Amino acid sequence: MTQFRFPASVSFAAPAWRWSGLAVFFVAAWFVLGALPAAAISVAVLALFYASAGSSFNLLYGSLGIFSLAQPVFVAVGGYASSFLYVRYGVSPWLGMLAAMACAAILAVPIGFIAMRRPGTVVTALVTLIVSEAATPILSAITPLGGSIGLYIPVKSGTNWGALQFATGLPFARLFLALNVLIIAGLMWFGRSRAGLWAAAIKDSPDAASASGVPVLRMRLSIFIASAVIAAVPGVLFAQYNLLVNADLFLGDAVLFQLLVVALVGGSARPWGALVGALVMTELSQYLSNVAGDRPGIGPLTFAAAFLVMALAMPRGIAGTWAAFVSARKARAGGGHDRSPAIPDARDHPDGNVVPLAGGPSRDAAETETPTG
Amino acid sequence: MQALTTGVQRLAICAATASLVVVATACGSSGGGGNNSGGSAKAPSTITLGEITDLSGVASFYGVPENHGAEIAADQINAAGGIKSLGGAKLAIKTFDTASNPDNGQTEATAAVGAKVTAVFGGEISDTVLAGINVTQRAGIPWVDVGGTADEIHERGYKTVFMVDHDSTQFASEWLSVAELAAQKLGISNPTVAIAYSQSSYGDELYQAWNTAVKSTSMKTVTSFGYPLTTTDFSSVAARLAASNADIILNMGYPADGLALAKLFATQSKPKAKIVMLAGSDAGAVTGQLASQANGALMIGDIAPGVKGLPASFTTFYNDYESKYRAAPDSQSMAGYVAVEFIAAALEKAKSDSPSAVATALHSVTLTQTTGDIYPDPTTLSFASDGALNNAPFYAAQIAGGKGALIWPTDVAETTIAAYGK
Amino acid sequence: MLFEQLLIVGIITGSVYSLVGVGFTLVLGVGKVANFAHGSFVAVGLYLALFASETLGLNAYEAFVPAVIFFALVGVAVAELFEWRGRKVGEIGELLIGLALLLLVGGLLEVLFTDTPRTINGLVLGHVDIAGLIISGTEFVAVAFTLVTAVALYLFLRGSRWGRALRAVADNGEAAGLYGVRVPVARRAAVTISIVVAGAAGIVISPFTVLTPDVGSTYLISAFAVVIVGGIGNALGAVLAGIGIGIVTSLSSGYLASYWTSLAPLILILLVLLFRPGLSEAV
Repeated sequence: MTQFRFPASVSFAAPAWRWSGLAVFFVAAWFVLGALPAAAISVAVLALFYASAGSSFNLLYGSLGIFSLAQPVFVAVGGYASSFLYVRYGVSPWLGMLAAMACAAILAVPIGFIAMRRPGTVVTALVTLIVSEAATPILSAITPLGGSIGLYIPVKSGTNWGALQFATGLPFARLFLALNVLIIAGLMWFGRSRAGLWAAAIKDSPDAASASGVPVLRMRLSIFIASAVIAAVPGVLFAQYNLLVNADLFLGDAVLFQLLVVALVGGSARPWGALVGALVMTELSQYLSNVAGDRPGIGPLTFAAAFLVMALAMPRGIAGTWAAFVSARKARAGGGHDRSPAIPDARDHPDGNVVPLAGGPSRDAAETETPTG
Repeated sequence: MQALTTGVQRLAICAATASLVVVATACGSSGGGGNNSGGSAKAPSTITLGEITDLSGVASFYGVPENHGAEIAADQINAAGGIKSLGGAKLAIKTFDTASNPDNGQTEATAAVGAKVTAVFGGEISDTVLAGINVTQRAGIPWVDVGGTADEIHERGYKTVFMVDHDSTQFASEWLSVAELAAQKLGISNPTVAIAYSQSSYGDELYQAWNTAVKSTSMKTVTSFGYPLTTTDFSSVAARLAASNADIILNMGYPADGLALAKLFATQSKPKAKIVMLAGSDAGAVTGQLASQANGALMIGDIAPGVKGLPASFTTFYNDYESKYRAAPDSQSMAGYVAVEFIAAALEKAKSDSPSAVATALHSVTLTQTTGDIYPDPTTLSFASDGALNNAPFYAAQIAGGKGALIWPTDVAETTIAAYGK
Repeated sequence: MLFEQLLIVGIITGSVYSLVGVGFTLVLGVGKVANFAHGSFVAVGLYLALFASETLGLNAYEAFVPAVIFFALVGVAVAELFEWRGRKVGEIGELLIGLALLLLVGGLLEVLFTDTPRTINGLVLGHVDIAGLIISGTEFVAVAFTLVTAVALYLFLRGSRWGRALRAVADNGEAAGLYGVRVPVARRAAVTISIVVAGAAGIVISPFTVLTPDVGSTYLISAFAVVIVGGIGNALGAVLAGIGIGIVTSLSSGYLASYWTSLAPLILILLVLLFRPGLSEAV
């Protein structure tokens, strides 16, 4: 059996000790949330919401280099699906969550097809942004979904687990935390799986990958669907949190910006990227609002300035900078991880279950991000 | 063996870092504060009101005047000795900026609750208010909404929510009354209407409210269409409206929409309609930009010294506002002022600064023209049992000679309605 | 009557899309930089015209030349920014900087000018009555400016030595460098020109546009649409695409039920995307 070399650009490979680290973090954070005052909890809810949506973006970007701005659409689909079922048919949002994931998965097929038709970061960004723009009028046109007004979720007083409504923000914060941890765990598993390996190969060179038997089109579509499903769940929780779902709340410009900022500042090089990005940006904007004072507009301005500084200093995000730091340290320590960019030959996989390439829309070289450090 | 040790070390570092991050978040967000003890036994010296509104972003066009009006109210009350039944306690306003993003509604509401405010007021975007009132209702803190117009705000059954301005249903029927008056004055029977509305929750709800209200009249809608929220070029909207043969043109949208349409009607697509109503625009703002180009259009009117039946309290408010902010107050300034006046009156009545007492008192408080109602009409302001205002103030003006002149309500009208385009 | 009016309106609106799109297609196709802040420079042009009108008493055309100089300087600075950080980390660096500039410009405009919608009046250049529509002279100037700019860029890129150098760099930077083209200079030039075009667009459309600080993002979206339909790097394609999208939007807004106003142009874009052979970066 050929010895596997991880391609230089693989993102999520995770040694075993990280699982325990994740578990420890989860338990610690669970209790810390319980001790926080309500104001901090509501900030945490928002941050964790953007973190989970941002993770769905990072999955696509980190594993396949696809810059998809269509993620808010899947978040909105999630929110609308479960809310509609609850408002119309009284279906519990827990079951509604499954329906939401299914809807997102179904929609991901045509949207993914459109989004990934042409290679190239910028073209994909343009196309997915147009898709995002199209979502608002389409959703508003569907009358059972409430048009532009959206859906109001009937209020149940107190805590009602069946209806996913709670008297305080704490259960929501914990649910979002659990969601984020699940997503991170999923990304970590993905990184070590055969699928993750193939994704890395496709990202480095789709032609070489398809030549060695990796099913490029199927992989791309599957990951796109996975990212859509991941985005739908926070949509359900956020709708329940606000007891409201409409295009303004889910598809406004601000949501897309926040998602992007969180994902890009955090970086896609590590599964925890979006989470750290969310925590950092939330802290930063709170701090800046306090410091900047009351003059209208100063808050967003200082935030933008901070973001520019970050874009210049840490273009690969916190996770990317950390990854570069780690590999530089290893290189200095001598011998460490072999970073040879050999593409693993899929035919050599012990599983042996490889479908000969059915052809994919891979064109001339997709751009490769040259790693720093 | 070495790998295991390194692994354990890494585990420790990882967990420690993670915990530090979470703790840092906790300390940062809460400002290091724990819970203070509850209400003090003695009368407080300062009562903090939370203003949750949009001080940046697109809605700051409304939010900033709202805040200015509220500050004037607080200044006046404090200068007059504060809340007398609470030992002269002074009012302080703490602002919470939702930055025109409804996602921030709950966050800022929770921050306000955490800052232990006695009452909350403000809000210019319905979705933001709808999200935030879930929080304040649970905390038992009253919210006096200023600019959010969704009917749901007072239909949700929350006993702590009040609206100091009209909701969509009231707003639509007010404009309907104006339309009927104008048609009557201009001798148009069975008038026809062409409507362009903004495809947002605000515009859509207004449009539907109008459709419901118009059924019981002889008015007929001949054209109606929506335009996307992000529209900046209104040329085709104006062309379509102008080309329709309707007697009345009605726009239900945001201030920038009405401004653009007014300019286009004057320069590019001259309407045949005799009545042009830009329901979301404010006369002062539009004439400030277009002057006489806006002549003939009907829009929300501003009250300025010289209007009939002005209470003295208005003149004082107007002068205070002008000298502090070097600008004339608009409808949102007045609404912000009234919101604070309501809360102050409730504090006086409740003789307590506990939020629940204030919420209860708000249900039975009435403002008169000497106790906070600065409007010429209505002469008293009070809340219905569901929190909506009985008789919401509404003023419409027609632009003539580059200035707005009130035409509604009829008892304060400054001019008769003329046909558009004369 | 309505049809002719909508057609004309569509051409005028479409020209604005084209103008913004032409600069964007240039920076994307030739400069190879995804400048997300492109629309923001149009906004800066608009507000610069407002400032010139209110504080300096200059109308848009009087302020044009100084504005172009201003944007050239800004363009060089921004190009330098992209070059410095963007090149090192690839496209993601440029996207980040573009996004940051977008937020920064929006925030700055809001603080300086507040969110009150503004218009610039006073510049009257006569008007023409066509099919019941009164088209002002300033709108004709804008359409003319669009065509002139697009044709000039096209000829520049095809015909002149400098233009061909820029295209060579766009096609294959290494090879162009080997042939003596100063590659970094060429790329910076493309970015700078695109920013000048964006700012000039703002100045030229200011007499008939309503200004708000967030108007930049709306123009960005239209620029995206124009580039997808017209082809990346294709100046003349941008003109046709912009006008095409403008006409489609105008007609659907004029005749169809509400939601088609946004959907019709989006469907057009989708069809182009699906059936057009190559959205490659050819000039």
